[in-house]
Amino acid sequence: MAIDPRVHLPLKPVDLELLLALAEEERHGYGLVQEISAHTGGLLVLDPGNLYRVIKRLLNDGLIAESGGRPAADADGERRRYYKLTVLGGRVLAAELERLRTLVNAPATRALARRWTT
Amino acid sequence: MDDMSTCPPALFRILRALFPRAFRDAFGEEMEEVFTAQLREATARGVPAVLGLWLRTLTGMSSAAWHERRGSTAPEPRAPSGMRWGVVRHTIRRLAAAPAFTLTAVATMALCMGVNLTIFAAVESILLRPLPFPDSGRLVTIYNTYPRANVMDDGASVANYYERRGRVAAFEALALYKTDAVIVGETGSTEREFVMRVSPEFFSVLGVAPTLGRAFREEDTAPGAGSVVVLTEPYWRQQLSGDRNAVGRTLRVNGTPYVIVGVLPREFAFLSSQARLFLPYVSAAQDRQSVRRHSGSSSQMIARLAGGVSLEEAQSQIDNHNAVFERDNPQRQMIADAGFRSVVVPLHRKYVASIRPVLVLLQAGAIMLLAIGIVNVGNLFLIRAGSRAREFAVRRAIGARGSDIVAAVVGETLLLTVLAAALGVAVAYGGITFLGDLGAARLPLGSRISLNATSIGGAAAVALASGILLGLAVAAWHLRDAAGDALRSGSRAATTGRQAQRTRHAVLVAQIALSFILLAGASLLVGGVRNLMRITPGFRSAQLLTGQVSLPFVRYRTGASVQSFLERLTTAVRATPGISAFGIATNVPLSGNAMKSAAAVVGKPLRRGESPRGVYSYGVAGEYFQAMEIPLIEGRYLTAADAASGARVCVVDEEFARRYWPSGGAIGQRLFPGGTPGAADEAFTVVGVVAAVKQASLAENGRIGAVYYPYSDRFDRAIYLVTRTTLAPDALQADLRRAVRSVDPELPLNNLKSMERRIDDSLVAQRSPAVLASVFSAVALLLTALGTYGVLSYAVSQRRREIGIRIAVGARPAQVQAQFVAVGLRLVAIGLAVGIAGAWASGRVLRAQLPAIPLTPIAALAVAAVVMTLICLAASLLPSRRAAAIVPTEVLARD
Repeated sequence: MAIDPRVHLPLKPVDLELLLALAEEERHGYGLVQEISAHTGGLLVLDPGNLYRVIKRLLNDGLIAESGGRPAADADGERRRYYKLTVLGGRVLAAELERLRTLVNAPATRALARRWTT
Repeated sequence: MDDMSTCPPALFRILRALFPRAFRDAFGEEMEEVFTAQLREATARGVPAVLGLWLRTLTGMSSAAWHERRGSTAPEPRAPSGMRWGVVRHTIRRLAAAPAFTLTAVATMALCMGVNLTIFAAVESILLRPLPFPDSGRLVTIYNTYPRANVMDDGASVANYYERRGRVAAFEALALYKTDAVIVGETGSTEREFVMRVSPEFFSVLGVAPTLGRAFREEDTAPGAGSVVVLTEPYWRQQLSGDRNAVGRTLRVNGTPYVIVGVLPREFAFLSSQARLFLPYVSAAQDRQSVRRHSGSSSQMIARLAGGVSLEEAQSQIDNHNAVFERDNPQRQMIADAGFRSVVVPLHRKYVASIRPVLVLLQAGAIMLLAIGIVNVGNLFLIRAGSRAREFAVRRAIGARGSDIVAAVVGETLLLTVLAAALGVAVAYGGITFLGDLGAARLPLGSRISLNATSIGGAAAVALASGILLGLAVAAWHLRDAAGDALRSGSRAATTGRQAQRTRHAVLVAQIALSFILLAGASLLVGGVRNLMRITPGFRSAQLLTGQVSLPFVRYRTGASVQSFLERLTTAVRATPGISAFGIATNVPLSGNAMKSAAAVVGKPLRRGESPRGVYSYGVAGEYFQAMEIPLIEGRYLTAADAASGARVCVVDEEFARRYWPSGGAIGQRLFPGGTPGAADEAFTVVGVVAAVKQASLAENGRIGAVYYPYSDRFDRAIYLVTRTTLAPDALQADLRRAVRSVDPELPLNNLKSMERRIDDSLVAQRSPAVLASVFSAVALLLTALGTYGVLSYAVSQRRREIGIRIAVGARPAQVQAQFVAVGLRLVAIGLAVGIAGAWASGRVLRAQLPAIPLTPIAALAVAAVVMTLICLAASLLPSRRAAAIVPTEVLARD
């Protein structure tokens, strides 16, 4: 049974960042920290505690899953677990991005943005 | 920082432990991996990045753990790093607004952390830091012990070395060494140098190779072989100006040219050896025979365990090896009766064994001091918390969450402790200098005491952990204090919650108890040292000057040449004004050497299974007894005529006489040096009994016994000169040197010290802990006084209104004052009651380590209790008087 992805909307900013990072490719914990940090220009650097709280919640919601296979390129990370986007996660991410696009593109939003941008 | 990047520090594990178990099971390992990677990256970027990471991790992890435990759905990372600076700035402003509080808290913690860091630096440098050799964990030493003959460590013999090397599979290599002193240089400019004589494998056992030239070879150790020498880097740099072509040059050692064959690496240091030159260990063929395997004593054996071999395995192989060699030993029964065994122990552990208990005790004391400091600062926070309860209550009422308050408080305590830790490092640098002044360099490995990354990392971890702990404790207090309560009870300066007061009092009691334990410990140690100093060494130590010369074999080959030297020396010294008696001995009390050997007494055969006992043996000449002022109990002293005539006579001490002739009559009895009787005409006749002297230390009470033989029968090239002076002994040092030089200009006089100085030096291991413990307890007392003052001042300030009313209705100021003093005294009484059990227990531990400590510590405990009470009384007087001085109209008018 398909769950309506919209029950998960709106996404928290950190969830959005994490799903975006996984949409590109499967990543391990430290890879996620690095990608999110880079993507937000260093504004959001996760500590391990908060990182895994988010991961735990997204796992529970079925938006992400542990990846079975490990990319061969990673030779040293014996114990590293990789995470991937689930089908539901992908749909939720798409729905959230659509919501944001609508929000950003709305004429009222644009007018406001112009007013407050100095 | 290197080791930190490969495995996450303990602090991270602590943080991780804050999370619920299920969470840790699922993600614990991964969290560690992520942090390790973050730390590695931050380390590469530098110190600010590491600090930033820690700050972020501490706040992030603790708040995440908080939310996870409460099962809350609060959004995880809310504040990006830009906002955190606002929190830090706010915290700094808050602390700066209360400078007295901040200064007291930071100074307290800095002092306690500095003390801890100082002691930890010593513990780390001496006990923990590996010896500076590759794979040094595999280095062991093997020594012979004869416990039932009173000889605990007899080193290893030349024969042991030759019978073991290459034949015990557990050892990759083994080597023999001994320390010695030689005279180096050309006529007129000679110096005495400490040297080590080592077997060829010595350097390879340690895993060290010379940077120039070569190490020793087998042929270097043959009797009469070429004279070769290996230099340490400092000697090469200082004496040969770092000449790259030094190999092949010669050096005059004891008057003979020695060829320099090698120079050691700069960092080479063997334990605390002062040797700057290494010579091959030359031995005669007969000394290598197994019949001589028990004549060790002056040499030591080291070995490198083969890969994968355990200590137990090595020990059992040595035991088996010994069993094989003992089978053919004609004296095997006597050796077995003495409890003979060769013990294999790690080189490092054996070398620092004597100092380990003292260091561990000092570290325990320092940790206790830190606990007092943390408790004290905690109390300061609680006192301040009283005034902040309202602020937090208001903040909670308008929607601040528990985690915000935790973050605010923890941030504050963290900032304080981190600041204190930084200052503590500075305190520790001073502390290490102080350890140096106390004589730490004379301890085994004591000269390498220094702060390194491990110690500083440890200090940082302790600072962060105590900051978090303190913060959580204070925050917990705030959170439990429900919002409504605080608003109500804080509405006016009425009495605050009973709960809060009880907490403050309990904290103060804990502090008093801990300080009392420290104080009692310190007074026990001081009492122990005083007891030691009261012990008479058995001679008169004032106005006694002693020094040492080593007669080189090359110029003093025969007994006659030595005898003639001694006669000329005696004449020269006796002609020196200010010297009233002069004697010579092969050893002097408290020299750091305890030469023991057995003596077989005629008519007192060993019982079955009884072992010969080692007794102190001296060879003396001249007026040794008169110079030392060792009292004569019976008979006569040895005289110059005894030596000249070659009479086989000796003097024993009262312990020896009491052991063998308990009912008297020692004079005229006969004995043989060594464990077995010889031919009848070789026996020595006892002509005198003298008082016992303390040889190894003032604390010794082993009733060892001593025999004094004429020097000519107990010949040794290293001799002590003993002079009784009529002036201050140090004033005569130059004169004594001149006298020696007038007889032999090439012979240096070394180890020149007054006997009082020798006694002083022998007490380093007891006095330094006593001094340090006194410093600890002084700091602890100061902190306790501060704590008492703080708690009572706060109580007075909180109850001004009540006091005002009481005075208005007729209470006398004296009554008010007495009431607050009574509060202080009651807390002291409870604290002492709690502390006394701990003090008693610690007294027992101390006594096990330092036997001179009084058996029943009642006096020490009483002194400590009185001091403690007086200090707390003084600290409670000030606030009590302020209470008594309250003017009712002023207080009530302010309402």
